[in-house]
Amino acid sequence: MGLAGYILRRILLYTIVFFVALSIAWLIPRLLGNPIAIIIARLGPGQAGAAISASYFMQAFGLDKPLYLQYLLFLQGLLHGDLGISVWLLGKPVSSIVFKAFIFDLILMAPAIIVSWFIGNYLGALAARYRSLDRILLPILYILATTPYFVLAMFLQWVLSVQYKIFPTVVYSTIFDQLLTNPSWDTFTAFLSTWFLPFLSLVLISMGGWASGMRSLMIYELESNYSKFMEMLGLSERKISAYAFRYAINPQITGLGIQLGTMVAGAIAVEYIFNYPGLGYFLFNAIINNDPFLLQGAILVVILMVIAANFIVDMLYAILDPRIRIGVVS
Amino acid sequence: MSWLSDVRASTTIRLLKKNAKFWTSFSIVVFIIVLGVIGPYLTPYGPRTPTSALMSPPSMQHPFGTDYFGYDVFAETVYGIRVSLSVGVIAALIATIIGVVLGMIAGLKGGLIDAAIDTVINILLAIPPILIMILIAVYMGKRGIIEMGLLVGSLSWHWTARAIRSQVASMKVSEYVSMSFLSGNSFIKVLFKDILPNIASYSLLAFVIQLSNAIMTIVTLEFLGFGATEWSLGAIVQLAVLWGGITLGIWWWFTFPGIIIIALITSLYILVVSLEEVFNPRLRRE
Repeated sequence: MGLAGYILRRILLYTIVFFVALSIAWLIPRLLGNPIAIIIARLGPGQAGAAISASYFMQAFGLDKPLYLQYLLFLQGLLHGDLGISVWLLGKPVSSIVFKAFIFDLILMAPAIIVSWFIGNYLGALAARYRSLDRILLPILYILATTPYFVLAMFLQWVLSVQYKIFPTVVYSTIFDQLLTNPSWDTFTAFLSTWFLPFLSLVLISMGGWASGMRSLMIYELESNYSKFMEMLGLSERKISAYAFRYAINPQITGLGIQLGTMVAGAIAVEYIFNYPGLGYFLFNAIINNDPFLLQGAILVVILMVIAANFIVDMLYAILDPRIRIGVVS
Repeated sequence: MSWLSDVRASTTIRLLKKNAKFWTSFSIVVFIIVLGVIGPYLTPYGPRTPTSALMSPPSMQHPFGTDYFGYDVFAETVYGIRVSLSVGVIAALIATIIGVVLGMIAGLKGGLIDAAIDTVINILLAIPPILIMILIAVYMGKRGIIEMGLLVGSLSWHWTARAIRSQVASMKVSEYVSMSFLSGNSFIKVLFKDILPNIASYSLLAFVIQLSNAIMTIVTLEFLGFGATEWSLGAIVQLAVLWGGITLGIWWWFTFPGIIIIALITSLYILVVSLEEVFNPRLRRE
């Protein structure tokens, strides 16, 4: 099979995943009864404009057309970057909201995943090697790895910005616009001070996951027969650890895409708690303000982002792992 | 060979007795379950009983204080444990059963069925299931305990299926399964007589893993506003955040449910780790 075959099969899988994701996003509102009735009902009782909004939504969703046409129209709109308009933000196009949010998500999550991956794997390997360090580190790592993102975010905000006023609690949304339109040193530092706590929450939680995973992978390798054999040959402990690390790091690379998925989901709540205007922030607001288009648009972009990241990680892994490169395993 | 299994069982028990991780995490899980079961009898308040005390700090009368609306946080928390835990158990049961069944079939049958199940597993790995859950939950007519359990369980089985599939696939090429097929046993008989007994203990472990993950997913969904009730663990915390509980400094409103969430999920996870150590000598450090 070799590398080319592997890449081809992955491309095929991700094409399927891509269309499944699109179809799910399109199908679910139509599958679970009449979405408009549910939206109208959630808007609250005694709505004078219920009939008007019902007919508006009917047209906007295109629900008066046959099903196959609805699907084609949905795909066509998507190709033109048309995701409808936001009800919550008074008619702003969803695509422009979502695009800006996507950029803020990249600024937040790309550094978070890279920093947590490196620190986490390093700490995990250290814990596996030094037993005294392990005893202190392990409980902390386990707690971090299994705490929901929003719970940590909440405690961090309470301690660091309410108890000790190191970071601001009130965030002005204007600084985010200014950062994109006319950046200055002041807006940059103001942005950094609001960016740091969501960043820290994401890094700490996912670092715990990487480290506790790396720790058990390393122990598994260090207890293996080849490590024992190297020990008998008289290799230094440092050298043996280096070999074990090269084996143990492989699953951590494949785990990157999956970890990004959980991080993105966790970031929804984190961004809301810190008022950070990423996709999650708008997703959360779309949920509590009953904004169907914004919700769909944001979810769709988040899903596509995760699929793209998974694909990149898969390709990276194929190139990095010699066993796939020469076609020993697929 | 009953003496052999007796020896093995006693080794397992001896190792379990020595394992401090196991006892600590097991006690915490049991404590939280007991709190959920008997807690409601310890307080005169219900989760939505109005009291005259608004935002009052913990006291004898209100051990966890009261929130912005004057509801007793202890009552909310103990009733919340019931809700979140019930949803978690339902979800974990469903996910484990689907995962074990599909994993066994995929691993033993191979071919087209295996390819189909594997594709679905890969799709669920590539699209974070919680995003699909949010999309469905928004349009769900009723979000009760059973509905939410079904929702989470039916989209989280892929972890278990993947693990069972690879285990069964390696059993399939082993001699005793080949012999069983050669001696004319049907697919179903091999599945139940030769495969199932070998993965039974792993399935139990898979259930605890699923429970830990399910509760993590559920409290996150509750925080996003999809709780089965207004007072599930994640929902209490959501209200505290939405109504400025953090910035107003009403720390007891979110700290107690927050600590219980962390304690529950972490203990379930450490329980799994300790059981793995007992059953897998390569993970033990002696």
